[in-house]
Amino acid sequence: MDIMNAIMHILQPAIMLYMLIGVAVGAIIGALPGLSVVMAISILTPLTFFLAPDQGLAMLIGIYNGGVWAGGISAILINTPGTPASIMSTLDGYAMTKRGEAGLALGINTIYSVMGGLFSTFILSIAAFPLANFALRFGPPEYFALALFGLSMMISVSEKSIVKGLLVGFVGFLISTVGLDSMYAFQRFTFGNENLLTGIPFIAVMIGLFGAGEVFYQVYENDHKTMTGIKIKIGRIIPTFKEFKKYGFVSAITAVISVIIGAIPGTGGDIASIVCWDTCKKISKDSENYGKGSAEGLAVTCLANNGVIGGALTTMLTLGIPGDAVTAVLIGSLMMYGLQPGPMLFVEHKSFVYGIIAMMIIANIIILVFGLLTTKISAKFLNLKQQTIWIGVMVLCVIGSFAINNSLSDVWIMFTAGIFGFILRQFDFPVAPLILAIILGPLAESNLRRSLALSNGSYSIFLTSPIALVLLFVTALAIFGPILKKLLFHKKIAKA
Amino acid sequence: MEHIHLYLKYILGKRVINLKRGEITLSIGLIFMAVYAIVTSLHFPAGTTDGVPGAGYFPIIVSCFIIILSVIVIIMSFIKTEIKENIEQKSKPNIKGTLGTILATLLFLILWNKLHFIANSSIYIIILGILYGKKLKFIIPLSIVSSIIVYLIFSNVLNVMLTR
Repeated sequence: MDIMNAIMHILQPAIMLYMLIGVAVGAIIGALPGLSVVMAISILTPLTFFLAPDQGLAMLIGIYNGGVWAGGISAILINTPGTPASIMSTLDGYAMTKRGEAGLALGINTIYSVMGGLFSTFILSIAAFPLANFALRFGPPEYFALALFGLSMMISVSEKSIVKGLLVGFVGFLISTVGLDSMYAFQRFTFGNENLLTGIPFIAVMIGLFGAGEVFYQVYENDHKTMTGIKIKIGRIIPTFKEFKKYGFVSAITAVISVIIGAIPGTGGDIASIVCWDTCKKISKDSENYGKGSAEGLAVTCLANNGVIGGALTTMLTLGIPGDAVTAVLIGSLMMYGLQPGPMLFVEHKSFVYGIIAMMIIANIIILVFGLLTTKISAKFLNLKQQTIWIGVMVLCVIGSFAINNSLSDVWIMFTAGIFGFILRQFDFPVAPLILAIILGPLAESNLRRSLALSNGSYSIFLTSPIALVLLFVTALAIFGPILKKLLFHKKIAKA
Repeated sequence: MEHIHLYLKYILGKRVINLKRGEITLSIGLIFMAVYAIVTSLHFPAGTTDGVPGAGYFPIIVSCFIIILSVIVIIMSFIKTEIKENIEQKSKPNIKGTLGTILATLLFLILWNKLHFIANSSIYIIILGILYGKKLKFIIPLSIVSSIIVYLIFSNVLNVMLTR
């Protein structure tokens, strides 16, 4: 009943309009290689503050779902993934395009992305409340351990060098200490600048790292791809009933795996699509065609991409820990609306949670209709030159960061973060742990200090709490496990 | 062990990136930053006798980790002998374009409160257009029109106080 009330509320014309705009913007950005969903949400979040919270959030949810779905369009048509989650879609999707089945590939991308999104939303609706009830038992030691756990997962799963990831993460923690100390109201590292009293605004940093920094990097790498002048045969779009039935079993397996992967902090659509594609290849009767234009292989990757969204949102809403880079940015957006993700959200703002679930359902339905109707013209998106995109992104980065507080200091922070992000990328340092640590830093510090206050300065409080102990153990495993594995591997090679 | 610094060079369209020098420089910079943070934090209010940590507690711990990890990165850079080759790189890095973008953005910010937004933004877009190889006859009208549209949308619809 609560979800039905929420759906009726979301069906208001204004909210539907902004969601449709969000899906369309997400589709354009997701389809264009070089632009990411994280970039889009980072840059457009400040602009949604001028809307009512429901409208702004509807737009962001639309961008999130639309962007992930549309990443498959360029993967299928020009063998270039629009988003990292669509990397696996290039294998089978592009091969189908070369065979003259681009329409069917795009249709599969739309239909199976929606199936993944709806299934993961269903899981969100049944798992979120029990998980939130469990999380209500969390106290300061558990929240401190959770903050470390969230950061460690992103470092260990997403990046090549764990040491560099940890280093960048701790730099983010240090940056998060700028401003007034939460316990003593003492100014830390503000250099007398009143603009820094409230801390470094992470949205400006986000826009800098993922927007301006990305443009600096692409300009430096001279990386621009277009598909000007390429003609593509579209053909039929909708799979037959027989084809739907044939892909049923692998789709069910993929849906479950992708939701679980989405719920794990630090993992996203790219990991889910690789794991699901590989797993389904092993169990499929059509395994020899996987990677060579198998419609089943494409269906699996497209379902996995959007299947992670519900899982990532579950973790974000119930625990306040981002499931992936996009939800890390969404946490910031929710905080700007005055909503703190975590178990208390389910107590104090229950209707809001139902609203998010309803938005996810409606967004996926919009993608289904929008995607199937625009299949034939989607190829035209990709004629836009990269240089034009760079100019547009840079202007939006400046205006977007100014719009946060109508303050030029935020733009300077964005600019500095952009240069820093460019330098990090140039020397193979990961960027995502930096923004995640800036967001999780206050959570980690305040709960660490509260825990020590409760225990009169004794660190044993972290060992006496079973939940904190488990989380700290998994954190240590996530960080040291890959390092030990690498060392053992090198030892084996040396012996051989 | 290889201690010789590598220099940027281009071999048959491939590029050898001087990761080692960059990693070491960045790590040393972070060590200096962390040392500064520790020294500053020592002057923050201390904790209470019943165990509540002071304002400098968390920055000091985090800075110590930064120093330790930076030293590990420096040591690993010296131990690493393989060279990272970007074999997908078919073109030279666009240093001029990148520096130009950064300087143009810097100029845009410096002139933010001195010029009207439309003029400032138009100049910015024209500079970027020239840097990226766009023709002047297209970029000049495009920059003016797009700046006007952006100004109208942000100032009048979204109430963002762009400079007048």
